[in-house]
Amino acid sequence: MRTEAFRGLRRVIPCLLFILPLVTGCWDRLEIEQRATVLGLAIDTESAVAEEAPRDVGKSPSIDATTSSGMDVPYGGTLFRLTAQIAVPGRIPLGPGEGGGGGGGSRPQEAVWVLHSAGTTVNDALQQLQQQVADKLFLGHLRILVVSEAFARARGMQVLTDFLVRHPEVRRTVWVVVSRGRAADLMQTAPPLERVPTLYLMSTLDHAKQMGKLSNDFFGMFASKVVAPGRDPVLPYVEVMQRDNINLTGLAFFQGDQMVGTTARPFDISTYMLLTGVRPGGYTMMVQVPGQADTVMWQAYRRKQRVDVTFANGRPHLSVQLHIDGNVTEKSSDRVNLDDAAVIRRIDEAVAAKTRANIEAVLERTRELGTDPVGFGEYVRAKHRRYWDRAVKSKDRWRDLYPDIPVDVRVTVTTHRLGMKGR
Amino acid sequence: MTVWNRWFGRGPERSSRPPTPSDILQQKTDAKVSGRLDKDVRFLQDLFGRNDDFVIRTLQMFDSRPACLLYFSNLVNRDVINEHILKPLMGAERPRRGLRDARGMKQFLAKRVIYYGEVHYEHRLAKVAEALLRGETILLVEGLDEALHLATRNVVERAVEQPETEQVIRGGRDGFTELLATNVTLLRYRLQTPNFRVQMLTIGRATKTKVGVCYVEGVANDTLVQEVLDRLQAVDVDGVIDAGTLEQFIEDNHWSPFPQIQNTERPDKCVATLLEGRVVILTDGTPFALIVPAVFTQFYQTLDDYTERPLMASLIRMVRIVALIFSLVFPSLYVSVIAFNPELIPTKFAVAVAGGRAGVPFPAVVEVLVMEVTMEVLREATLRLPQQVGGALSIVGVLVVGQAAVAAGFASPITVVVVALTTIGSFATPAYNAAVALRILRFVLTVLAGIWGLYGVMLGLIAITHHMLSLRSFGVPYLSPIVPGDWQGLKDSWLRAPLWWMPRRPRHLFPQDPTRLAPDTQGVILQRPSHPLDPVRPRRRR
Amino acid sequence: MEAPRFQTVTFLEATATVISTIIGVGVLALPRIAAEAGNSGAPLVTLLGIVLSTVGLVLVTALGMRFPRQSPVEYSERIIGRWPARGVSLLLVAFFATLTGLAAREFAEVVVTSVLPRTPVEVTAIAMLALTAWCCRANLTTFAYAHLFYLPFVLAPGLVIVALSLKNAALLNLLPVVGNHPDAGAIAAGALTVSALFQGSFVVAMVIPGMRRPRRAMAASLVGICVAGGLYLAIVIATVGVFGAAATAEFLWPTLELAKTTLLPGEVLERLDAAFLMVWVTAVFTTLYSTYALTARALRDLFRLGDHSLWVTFLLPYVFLIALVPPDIVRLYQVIEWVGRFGLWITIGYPCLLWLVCLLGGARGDEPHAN
Repeated sequence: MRTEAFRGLRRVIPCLLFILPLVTGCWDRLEIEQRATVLGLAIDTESAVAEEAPRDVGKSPSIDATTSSGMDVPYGGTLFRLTAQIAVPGRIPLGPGEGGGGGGGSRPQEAVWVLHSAGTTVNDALQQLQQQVADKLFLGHLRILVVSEAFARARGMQVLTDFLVRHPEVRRTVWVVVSRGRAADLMQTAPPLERVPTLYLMSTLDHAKQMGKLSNDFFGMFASKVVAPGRDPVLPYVEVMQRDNINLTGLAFFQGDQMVGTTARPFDISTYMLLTGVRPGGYTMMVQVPGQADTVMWQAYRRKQRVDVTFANGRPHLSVQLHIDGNVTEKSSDRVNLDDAAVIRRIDEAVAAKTRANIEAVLERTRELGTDPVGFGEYVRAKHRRYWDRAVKSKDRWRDLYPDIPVDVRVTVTTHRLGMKGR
Repeated sequence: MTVWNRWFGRGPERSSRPPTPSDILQQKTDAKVSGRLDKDVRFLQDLFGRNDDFVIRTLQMFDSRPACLLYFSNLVNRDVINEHILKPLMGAERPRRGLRDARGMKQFLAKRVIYYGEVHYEHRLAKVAEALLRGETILLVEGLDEALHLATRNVVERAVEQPETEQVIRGGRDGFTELLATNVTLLRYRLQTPNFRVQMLTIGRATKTKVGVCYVEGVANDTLVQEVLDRLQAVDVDGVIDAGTLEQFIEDNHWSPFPQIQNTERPDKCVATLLEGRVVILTDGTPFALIVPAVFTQFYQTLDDYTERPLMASLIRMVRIVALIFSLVFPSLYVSVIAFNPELIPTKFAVAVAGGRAGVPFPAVVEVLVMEVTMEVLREATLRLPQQVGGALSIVGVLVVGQAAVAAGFASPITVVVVALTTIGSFATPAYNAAVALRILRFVLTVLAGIWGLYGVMLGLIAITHHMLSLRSFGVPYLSPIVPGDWQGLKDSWLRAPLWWMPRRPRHLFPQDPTRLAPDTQGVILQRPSHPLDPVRPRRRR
Repeated sequence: MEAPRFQTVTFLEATATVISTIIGVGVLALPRIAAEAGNSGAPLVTLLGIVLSTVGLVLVTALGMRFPRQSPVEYSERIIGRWPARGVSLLLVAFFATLTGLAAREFAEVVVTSVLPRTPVEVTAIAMLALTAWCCRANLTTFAYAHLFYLPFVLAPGLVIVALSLKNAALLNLLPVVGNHPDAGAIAAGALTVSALFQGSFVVAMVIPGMRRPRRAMAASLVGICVAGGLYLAIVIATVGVFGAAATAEFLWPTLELAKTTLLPGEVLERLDAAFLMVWVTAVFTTLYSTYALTARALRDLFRLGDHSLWVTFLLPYVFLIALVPPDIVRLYQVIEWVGRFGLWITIGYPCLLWLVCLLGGARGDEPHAN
């Protein structure tokens, strides 16, 4: 009777003895407020820092040649400078509107803490950064990473891509952007709309994406495109306008992980999206009504794309067919009679012609730069395996071939609506 | 065992204490009523004489024959004794034809003299003593070798009131009382089928508690009824204080946190479960009935689920399930997200949460555990306090302590929210004992979350669910009808299907008659209803 | 105590057992294995692997139905004689114990790498194994119940990830179907490795003796492998479709990367990877549960000694030690690949042999017990 009753307990005791040693350690418990939450990182070349150095208030800790990893002679040659934006717990109140009515009262800089360090690799620089911060750096909320154009051109993204893919905390949806000037400046902007500058920058990009003004080229896309055999990646290209404001200037073109150039103007983002087949479109273009001096503004809302590869004399020939649906959003003068179907048709033709010209310009630029951001190579690889396996084989070879392959562009346009006005 | 006893002096010492009344009864189990009044009375006097409420009333029947009435004055209805027993006995005339033998006398007393319904005869003195303790009145007559028992018991009885622990919005307002007889009445009143059986057992050497095993013959599985009876009969204990003590003797797994037997105060619920093929165990002296077998789904179902219409009932039931899951995992998820995986919550919120926690000196696990324990203490204190004070205390406790804890930097506001939500969630579980089970497990999960974060929570949840899957209540898998899957049963698990759509009794109970709804009833209900008052097609005569 | 074997397992439970046993930690690395073998032909490689393991499973099930009340250890003795059969059965026990240990280690590595970096991998592995061992003491009925109950939690994360990531997938990444530079040798090797991920399905041999109607075992096996294989295929298609074959081959656990890239609509949770991984614990648990239970029961049948729960306890240190053998993650994956390929001889080759001997010798299960 007694043994029956205690059998249950007898089973439990070894289990408890077994579990007990495991309970003793809470190895990974690290409270949220004990983590230095890194919201944004910026990477500059050391030379950019050197010329800016006098303007820095504090002493930059990194100018001494040694790095935190103890290597006296940094491999890869150059040091780079890392700027981190860390959230300060407690500065951002819990719940809405607790901080009082005056929005101007709290300066956004107070919510974050901007720190600098240097290194030859990202880990190296982060380690040095960690020396300056009490709490453990936490990259789980890293939302944006800014790379200066100089760095992206000089060093390429390899050092970054590897770190970001390898690190378990970093999210794939982080935005990596290239800045025209110093990347660190973006960490120090103080937009009045948002307490945390990085989050403002992030929502700028997110909203641009939602409005159809930016392709979905977040970091994960970049990482996939870098290794894809038939295409090259792009990244958003931004610059700081005054001090509190950033401007989405265009796209940075890469050859592999090396930056080689940028689009000529912001509108080329739209052209790029058109070519890659992103369906929603958001940009408005100005077109001259044929036969008149007046212009209308025309906005695309839907786009279709189709790429075909044909062969002539054993050489590939690309043809791109595009269809754009859109609306007229503005006209410059009453002389434009939108009531007339013929006029609409002429506007359609003008839009198509202008789009074709834009596309030609963008493609010409990519040929000059020797990069294939649209991914024509992928079409060849996917649809014409035998040709690719025989004649192309590798990414480098495709880059060599790409500038000489003719691309046919055909654009059709339909205007659907005129807004709330009848004519 | 012997060594142990020798070392600790726990020898089976038989001291020479004077024999207790029960010792005497055990020695003289077959002492008979002798028919000599003074001898029999002395026997009973020896047993009970030291009780002040033991009354021995001697009288002379029919002028001459001595007789004796014995009873415990606090257990009997004295008016009945005076009016319907004493008076006729003393006032009766001697019959014309003489009472030659004891047999004639017995017949005459029962048939002509005593105005009382329940009369029994007993010739063993031990049984006579037991009857006295039950509250019966004993009539001993000189020359009669049997004693007459008169069931004059009068126990203070509580009125049938609304059940305190199981309130419903729509449903009967009557609840069980302490008296077994009343409870059987309540069941019989609702279940007027000849197949309704109440099998009586007496359990408890000292308490002699009556236990009624109720079932509907032809519905409840025979083997189930037999098993219940077997398990009950195996219980040999000095006292059964409550149905709860009985429950612990007959349940399947004694170490499981989960209750495997349901209890209820509601006769209507009992009737519903009886008709499903379950067995109800009524215990004298407690207003709680036990329902066996019980499966997990029963513990979050209420009568309201069936009295309300299916859509509403299903929604409310789902809310209850959400609350149940909430009360189990919410604190542990909070701890894991805060201390292990803060990347899961939105960035803005994460930064804000970090701010809220910035002043708190303890890790989230400790904070949550302390707050949870505080909450449990408050809950327990509120439960034990008189009702008038309880309400005030709970408000003071929750509002003031919570607010003060935050203000003092002892807990972060979000922790308070989490703990409060969890506690409220656990109150939404209708069955108190199931809610307690989940509360215990919630602490275990929180500790696991403190060690391994989400990984620990997941391991804990797997262990809990696996334990539930291996649990049986009288052979019924605890998670039926979900696993093993039973389509008919699933209609009444997460959701509550319309009653006409559930024509069968739960299959996991293996009822002898599986159908409860006649097939043509379903047909009639699903027919297009006629519209006698349709305004579009007025009848000739309005 | 299983002394009187209850035949309670239903068709649904048997199917669920096959599905949730197959779906395990292997799916995390599967797209990488497939993409390395056939780049954009990864789905093809997976499909070939599924077909191969279906053949093995059909054989095992057919054998089980021929001897509907006997375990594989028992009927193999009847077919090829006591001592040769015992030798192979011992090998089978060793193989499944190793498989259990390696799967526990692999998942522990995933957990340590991605969410609990400072927790020792031994602790993470032993926690999982101890839980499995604790659960394994249950009888076959509970075993089947558990698989049915956990099935939604096993299927849901994969399905959700696939459904949510399809909007990011590009058909172009999946072309050409046979892959660039197709190499029959590499594709075949990849298919073998993929097929090794399905070896848990051997558990059906253990379940058949407990089935209420063993005649439905074949249907259960086929439905099971179709569902599990379908999910695996869908995950490979989604992963390669989103990342492209080249990037898929670069990630250690591409399925986890897929979860990382996917956002829930409404953004309740900002990242799915940790949540996904945690629900995935269930899938890993069910796999370990099956292989562990299979090992313990095979030992019991082999030595005809005691209760299987006795063997469960004895096995734990052994399985744990196996989990600790590979020194680093690279060699862990090498060992997994070797063991998996070797296991194919046991889970596909051996049933094939038994079946052939059966056909020639005509041994059947419905005659009274031989000894």
